[in-house]
Amino acid sequence: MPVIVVTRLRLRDPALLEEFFTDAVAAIEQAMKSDGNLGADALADADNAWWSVSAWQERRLMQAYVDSEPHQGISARLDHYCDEATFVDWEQASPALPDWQTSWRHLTAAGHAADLTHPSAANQTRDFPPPVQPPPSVS
Amino acid sequence: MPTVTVEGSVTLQQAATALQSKLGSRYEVTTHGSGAQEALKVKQSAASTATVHLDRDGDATVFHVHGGGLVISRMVNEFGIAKKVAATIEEAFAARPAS
Repeated sequence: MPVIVVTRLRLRDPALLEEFFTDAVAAIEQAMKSDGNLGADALADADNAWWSVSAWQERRLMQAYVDSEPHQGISARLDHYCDEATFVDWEQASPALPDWQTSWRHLTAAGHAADLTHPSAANQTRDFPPPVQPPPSVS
Repeated sequence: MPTVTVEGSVTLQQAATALQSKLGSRYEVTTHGSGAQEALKVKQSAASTATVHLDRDGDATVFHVHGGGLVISRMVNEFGIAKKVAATIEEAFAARPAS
């Protein structure tokens, strides 16, 4: 059954954006080229938050991506970049990527927070606002 | 995603007119949708686009500017055209500092 993985990362300092962006693009590109990937997407949210979502044929292949470079090295820098870093995964019958509001519901209901040196209060409570996205009329 | 907050109520059409005037003819500004779905699209080329939608926050208008395109190109546009559009809105409407 397909596995969906959602991440929400918020930069602790907007000045880190360029550095973070380079890593984020590398991670998304790697995911899209990895065995077992069924799709990936990213969303730049308000308040310096970035979302990603990816779909995988099976958990083993998703884990292989997580444990390989450059993703593994990038993960080690999340503490440098973020004051909020939350992840959630679930299995679903459809291989299609969920929309961002569905991703938000899963993340706030059952997400796991990373252990950060400078966490915000919301990092543990998952009290995150729904992602701001453009209306479908122009998407 | 750049966000710009402007004092007062700004309509989508006012924003479109101001953006087209300040960005010039190399950019195409069009309006789409209606009501809660209304938004602007700013296009410099097929690969360089941004979308703008408006929220009301009391007496203020909040502009949300997204890069357009698919996945990686959208992320790149967050840094390019979306920032330029947000800066142009700030300039046009004497906005509060962008977040």
